[in-house]
Amino acid sequence: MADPRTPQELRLAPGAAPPARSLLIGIGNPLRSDDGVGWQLAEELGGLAVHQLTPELAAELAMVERVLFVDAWQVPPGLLEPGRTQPWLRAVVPGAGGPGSSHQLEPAELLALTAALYGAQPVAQELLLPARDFAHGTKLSPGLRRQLPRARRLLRQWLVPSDA
Amino acid sequence: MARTIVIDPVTRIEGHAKITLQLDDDGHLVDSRFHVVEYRGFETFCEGRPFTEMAGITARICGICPVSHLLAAAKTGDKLLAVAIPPAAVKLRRLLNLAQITQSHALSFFHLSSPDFLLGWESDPARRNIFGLMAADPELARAGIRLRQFGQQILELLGGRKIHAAWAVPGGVRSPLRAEARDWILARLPEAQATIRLALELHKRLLDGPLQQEQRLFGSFPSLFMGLVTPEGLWEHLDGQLRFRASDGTIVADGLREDDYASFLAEAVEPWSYLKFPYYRPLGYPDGMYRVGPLARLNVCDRIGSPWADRELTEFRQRSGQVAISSFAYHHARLVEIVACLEAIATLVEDPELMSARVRSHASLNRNEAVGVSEAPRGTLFHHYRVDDDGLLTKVNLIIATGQNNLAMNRTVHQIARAYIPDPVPAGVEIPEALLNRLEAGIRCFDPCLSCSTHAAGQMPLAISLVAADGRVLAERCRG
Repeated sequence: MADPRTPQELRLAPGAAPPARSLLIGIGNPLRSDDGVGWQLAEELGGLAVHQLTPELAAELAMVERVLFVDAWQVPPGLLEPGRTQPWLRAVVPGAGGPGSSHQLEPAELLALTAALYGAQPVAQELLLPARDFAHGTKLSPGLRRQLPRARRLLRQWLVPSDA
Repeated sequence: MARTIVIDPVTRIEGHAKITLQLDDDGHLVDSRFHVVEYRGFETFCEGRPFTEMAGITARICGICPVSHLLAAAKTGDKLLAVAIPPAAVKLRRLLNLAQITQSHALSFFHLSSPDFLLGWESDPARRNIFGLMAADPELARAGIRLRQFGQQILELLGGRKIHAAWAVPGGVRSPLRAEARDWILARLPEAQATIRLALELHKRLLDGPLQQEQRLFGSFPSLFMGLVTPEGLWEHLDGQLRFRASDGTIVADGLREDDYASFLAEAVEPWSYLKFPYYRPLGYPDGMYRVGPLARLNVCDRIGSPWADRELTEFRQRSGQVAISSFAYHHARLVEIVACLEAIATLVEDPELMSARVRSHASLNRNEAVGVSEAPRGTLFHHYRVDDDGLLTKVNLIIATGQNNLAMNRTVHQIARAYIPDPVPAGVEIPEALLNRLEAGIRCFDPCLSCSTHAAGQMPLAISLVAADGRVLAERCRG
């Protein structure tokens, strides 16, 4: 009879190979232009690409020390905020939120769920890329493409320290 | 002055939507609308592409039910190739769909709807979520996650990736099931069955107690129901033929082929929603309202065909009627369907043919038009393609389950609003949390999925507005 644990659980078992210490999760819809940037970057860098955060991802987070969520940030119409024209990193702390959406958890909610279910608290950050074009399409807008070098630099900096 | 109450957007469903309650000059509720405010339009996006890419593309439309699109696309592709796929591929696709239904229903029941059932409609909205559920019943919350994980893990074992595995392709599937994957499924089945037994016991207790009013008021009205059944009339989720049954039990149409869907389905358009309104063509619009999904599948079938699920179906019908007309019964139907899925999975994984290495038939294009169908967790999904001689798509039509429930969702919202707001609505009325909760919960009965819209961070607050006929906002309430 096979071991009923999931492959993720088996990776945590005594004697198993050490688990990855970092997890990159790209969020978005790859068929909605700029919305797919998190997905694209996660696939480039061997991360996990998802449409939205769902509860069972808590099991993945419970096995890592650090997690980075990569997502498009929809620039509010008319907002002229000079500091928000480039990708930026921000810390994410666990938070249960409001009545919320379980189909579509926010990073803070997923972290809170991870802590509640598994007693694990990975250090979490979010890389947000300002985006404006959410029409159907598989290509990023020129404005977002210009942000990619900085985004990749930030991602590499984030990945290197723990996995080197 | 006529007034409008707007709830925008609705939380805990995918994508963007809002609810409007229209009052007349005397403050009486005259209309209720569930709007989908974002254009989907993936059909146009797909045109011009090779049909062989449709499985991969359409699986990326949706993060909640990618497998449903994947299977409908693959089945449509089979028809364009004009091939019979190998028996093992048929069974592997069925296994995939059963796992998909299990994980999706688990998410809907345990994480979206249980907080309402267990914590109460009047409870603090900040607690009426999965975290509140964990505080109230941590074992149930954990078990729900494990059940969802069970279904997701089967998807990964089959497709290699949890989400958007373009594993089902025209002609079959890309790879067979490995023996260790089959053994893992067998080993985890008892836990999944124990979880659903626990959930059923709990839900039945609630139905017999505090949820009786919701059974009566949450979208309880006659309509048609549509779903796949086997040629013998048994519950079906991937193959078979379509059946319509009316609320009085009459089989209105039977043995329908998906290829002929345009002869019995039509789609109406309303200026206030991007989501179309499919209806049963012979009865016209809107009288041809029908419902799809777990409730409809249980209503259209004669029986399920496996022992435990059939016992649960009998009990379901004793509680909710031989044809259950309350949309609230969708929740119970999901649990019965999980039982059916687990039993079917148990049967499939014991079938030696499932392990065959012959899983794909190869052919070139042999037809220029085809329609494929699958039962998504939320209901029947149609893919209709026309291709040129090079296999490039010249026409695509996708009829999604959430759209087919559109008329019924609007009717449900209206019924709940009539029950829970004063008549007439006094000027300056506050929109009570209890009404808002119930309206959202009414929509959640259908577990609608609009996730073909965008995700970008920070887009999902909840705002409620009371708007005058001239557009002035008379009152507003936000959360999130």
